Amino acid sequence: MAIDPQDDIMRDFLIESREILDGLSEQLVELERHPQDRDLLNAVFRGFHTIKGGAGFLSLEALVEICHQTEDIFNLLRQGDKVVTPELMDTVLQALDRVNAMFVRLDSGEELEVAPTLLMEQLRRLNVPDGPGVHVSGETGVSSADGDVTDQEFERLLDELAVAAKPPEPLPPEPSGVGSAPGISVEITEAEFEDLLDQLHGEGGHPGKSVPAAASSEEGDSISETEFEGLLDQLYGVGNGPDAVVAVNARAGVPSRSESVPSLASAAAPSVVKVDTGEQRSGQRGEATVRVDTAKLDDIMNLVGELVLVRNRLSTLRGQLNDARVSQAVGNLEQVSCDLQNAVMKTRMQPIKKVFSRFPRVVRDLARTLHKEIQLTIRGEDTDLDKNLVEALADPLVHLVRNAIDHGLEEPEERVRLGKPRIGSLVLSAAQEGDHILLIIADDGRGMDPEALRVKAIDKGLLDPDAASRLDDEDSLNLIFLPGFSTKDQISDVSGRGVGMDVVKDRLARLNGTVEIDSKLGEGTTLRIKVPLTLVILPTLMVQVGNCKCALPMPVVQEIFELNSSRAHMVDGRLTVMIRRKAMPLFFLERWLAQAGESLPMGVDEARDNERQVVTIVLGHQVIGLVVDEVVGLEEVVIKPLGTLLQGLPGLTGSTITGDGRIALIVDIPGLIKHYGPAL
Amino acid sequence: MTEDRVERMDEAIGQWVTFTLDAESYGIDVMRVQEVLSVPEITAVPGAPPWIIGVINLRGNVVPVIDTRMRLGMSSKPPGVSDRVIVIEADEQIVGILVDSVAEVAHIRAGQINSTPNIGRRECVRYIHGVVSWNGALLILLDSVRLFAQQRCDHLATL
Repeated sequence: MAIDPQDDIMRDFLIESREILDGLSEQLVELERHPQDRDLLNAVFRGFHTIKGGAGFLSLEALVEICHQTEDIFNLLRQGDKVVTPELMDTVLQALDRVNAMFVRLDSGEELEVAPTLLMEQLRRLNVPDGPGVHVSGETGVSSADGDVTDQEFERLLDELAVAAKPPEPLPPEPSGVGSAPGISVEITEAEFEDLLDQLHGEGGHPGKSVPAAASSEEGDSISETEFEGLLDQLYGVGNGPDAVVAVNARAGVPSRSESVPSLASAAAPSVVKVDTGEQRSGQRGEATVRVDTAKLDDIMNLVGELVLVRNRLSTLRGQLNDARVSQAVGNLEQVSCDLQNAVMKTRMQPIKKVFSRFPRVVRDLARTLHKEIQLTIRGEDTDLDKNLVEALADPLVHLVRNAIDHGLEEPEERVRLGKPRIGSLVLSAAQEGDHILLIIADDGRGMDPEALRVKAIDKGLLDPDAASRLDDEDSLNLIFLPGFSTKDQISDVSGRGVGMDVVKDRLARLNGTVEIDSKLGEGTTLRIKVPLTLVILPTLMVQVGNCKCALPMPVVQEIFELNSSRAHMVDGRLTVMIRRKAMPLFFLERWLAQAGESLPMGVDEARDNERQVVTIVLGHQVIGLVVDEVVGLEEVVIKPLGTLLQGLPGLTGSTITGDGRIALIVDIPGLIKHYGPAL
Repeated sequence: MTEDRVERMDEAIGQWVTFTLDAESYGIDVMRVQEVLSVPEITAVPGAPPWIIGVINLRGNVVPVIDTRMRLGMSSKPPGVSDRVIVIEADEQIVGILVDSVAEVAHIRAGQINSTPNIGRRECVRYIHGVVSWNGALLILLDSVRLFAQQRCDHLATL
């Protein structure tokens, strides 16, 4: 079957499965810690099972096969026929990786490759009970616990039913494909299903049921194992209610695609198969959510951006018109557009859980590779932020977490020797703070030694000894963000993947985010990352320089004061002012703009200088002053990319259109200082 | 009728927007042209390559404007009243090109176009689609896609 990721059914399957897979990796790691947790075992089982069902429907044999094997292992586990071992987890996680890889191929419309024989062999070898099965039998056993029915139990149940009513009816030979377990039939035809119901009723009461499933195509009549299990659960729950009305979802041939079973809680009450004693109320449940293509949301967001620009423009005009009625109308528009902007932003919000959920796995794998013991604590995973931001944050965060584990946390023996708890702690947290999100990655490892960092920087030729000696400890920590700086002598295959902290910082800067380090030698390191709530609309401080307007992103702006040239001194060839007993170097935005042809007033014009303003900017632990002609005010701006031709210019985040229809450049201040610093 | 027959006989007729730079005439595929503007306010972009004059606000979209003269190896000239910005769409981007003046739309049969001759000016040649004799003079037809694709490479190389 040709794989078309654009096909509706395929697309739904991909989306659905992605969600399940995200959950699975977390659940598996959790499972390793609580191997006896039945809820988890069941959840994992259901996850693989649901994917298998969908894959079977779409004839993705390779995927069916691997999910099937894995699912069977978990079936044994949840029945208590097998116990979780680290080796088992390794294999299962490998299987999960393979499944993930298959989905990557599906996404790009490629044909699936069969899973490696070695892995399949390992899975098959694991797929045997550890010892004599401790089966629960009989009706009471089946309906015990959370109402879960296994394949074997189900089969026996069928036998019992058959014995009780009529001579046993042979089950049909097993078709390959949807949900096939050796010797266990999970696919039944409508006729069989009806027979089964008849038997139930023949035993319990009178036939008075209706089965509105009945789409007549062959595959349409098969119901998935999940649904059927649910149905049986329900039947048992209901007992032997004679008037049971069974409504099987009539979506022909789409077994378990639309009805994913993300957790056991919902598995106990499947949404599709409803069995009511008495009246029929199936199919009436209203859908509370709608899936929307993110491209559409992006469009809406862009339109809202346009609206914000028009609003800004009207606000400017209002000042000139001086008409009370216009004023009021524009005021209302401002209010409404502001609400709209927030509402649309909310639709694009996703919990950071999407990124965080991969960390238990990352940490677990690293801990095993590096023989470290780590307790990962995740806080605030429900914090919402813009979808694009969630995606963009994933890589930098993974890198920082790898770093913390590889470089930060010590081996268990060393920790014990140092009098620390044997198990290292890694905390990952997210919280909203005003208009930005604060992410914290904290470990209680060895921390960083400012002196060692300085020496390192000199050794690597990144800094001359003179400059290094002038750095205080805080500044020294920021040395790790220099390109070409790596705190381990050898590049390990864990965190040294050719990506340095400088790249992480650049990435974050591109998101208008900042990163701060706090580290105490021997006590651990804390990284604080601040990012804006959204990537599209940015709160800025609008300033005027010569003929140009520039927008300075608010997250880095600290305060504004008037330039008093009598208090400024030349230090090291740079004009510097003393603020709260700290020297603050001044940078002139006009010199940057001068490159683009803006005329530059020559010489020192004291009168002019004294009318100018200084905007203080926080860059890590450094505070600098940007000299501008005039501060216009706060403005929420819509970031307009400069297009492919001008992409990636240092010092520029993008541009925006101001209230008077002109273009203002949005300055990437860290980038600006990095690239033009000495010249400004 | 006659035109139809001509078209069938001698391939499709292409339409080219013609403009001037110095004394020379150039043409650009009309299908690429979105609109022609009198020169709006152009905001300079620090750090941009010299052949990009800056960006303009095209009804809410920020569009870069190219100094076509500089791109084709001529010297820049002071702004004039007949100056125009031709907004073109090429290679999935919208770009404005600054020209001395816009003349007309020329209907040119594909068969009339000579593939690029060696006309000497080095920078120019790689952006040329072909040349054609038009109204007794030489009309240079530009390849708009290559005009920007090449520049992007230049730009990346300088990073």
